[in-house]
Amino acid sequence: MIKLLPKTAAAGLTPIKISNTTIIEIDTLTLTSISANKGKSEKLSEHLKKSHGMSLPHSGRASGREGARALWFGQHTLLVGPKCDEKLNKFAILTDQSDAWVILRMSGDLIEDVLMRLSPVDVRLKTFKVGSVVRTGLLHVNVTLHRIGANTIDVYGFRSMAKTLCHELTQALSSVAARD
Amino acid sequence: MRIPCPICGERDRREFYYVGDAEIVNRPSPDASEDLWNDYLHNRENPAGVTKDLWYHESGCNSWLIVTRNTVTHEVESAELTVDIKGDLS
Repeated sequence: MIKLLPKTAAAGLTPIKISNTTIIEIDTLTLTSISANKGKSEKLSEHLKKSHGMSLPHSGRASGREGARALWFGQHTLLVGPKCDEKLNKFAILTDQSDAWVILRMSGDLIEDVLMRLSPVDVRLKTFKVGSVVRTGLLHVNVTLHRIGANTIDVYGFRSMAKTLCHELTQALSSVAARD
Repeated sequence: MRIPCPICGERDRREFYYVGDAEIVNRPSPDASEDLWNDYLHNRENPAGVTKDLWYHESGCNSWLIVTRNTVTHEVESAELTVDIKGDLS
């Protein structure tokens, strides 16, 4: 039997550093999709708080903190960090998505200019505040953006698109940095 | 062009996939007449004015939307979740 080694989604692609802006991969978190059963959102929110310390996020927002977060994910919620408490399946459908996504953490002064080149949303701090989440496109790749700090945004993309995402972000980052 | 998604808020057209006339969601019953099926499959209105389309919020919340817009003024009047209008089809 050949011994197989686990590889992260962006293995060999990150870190990227151009000017004072960096892109690193966050690969230590468990991701679980939580889709509330009809009429069970309130119960789910209560029990999510008991199990993981945060209520369900409001539309376009994240709740919790680094290491245990719940992200608004359009029609469902993404639990980011801890292994999901199985008991929540009384109120929701739970699906492990850990290996399905790549998380790229962008930090630095150029992140807004870079993302505004690629996505049709306003990610400036005054409209896309800390704790905000938006599902949008990044060129032709579907992504979720989550602002975790004034100069830091997490980009969630499909694992299969990791290489494309790193390429597009690097291209845009180089162009923006060249204008500085 | 911007579409007011009921789940995500007002978003750019590039996030959406255009499917076609909203009539597509009004599928006749399997035993409906051939004329009715023919009409459903092939015939569409082409109004100068208010029309309804089916759109898919592909780069957003993945919901199916029925969008009311005006082909003369290009104004987008409203967008509703198909599930709210048609119920859960699954």
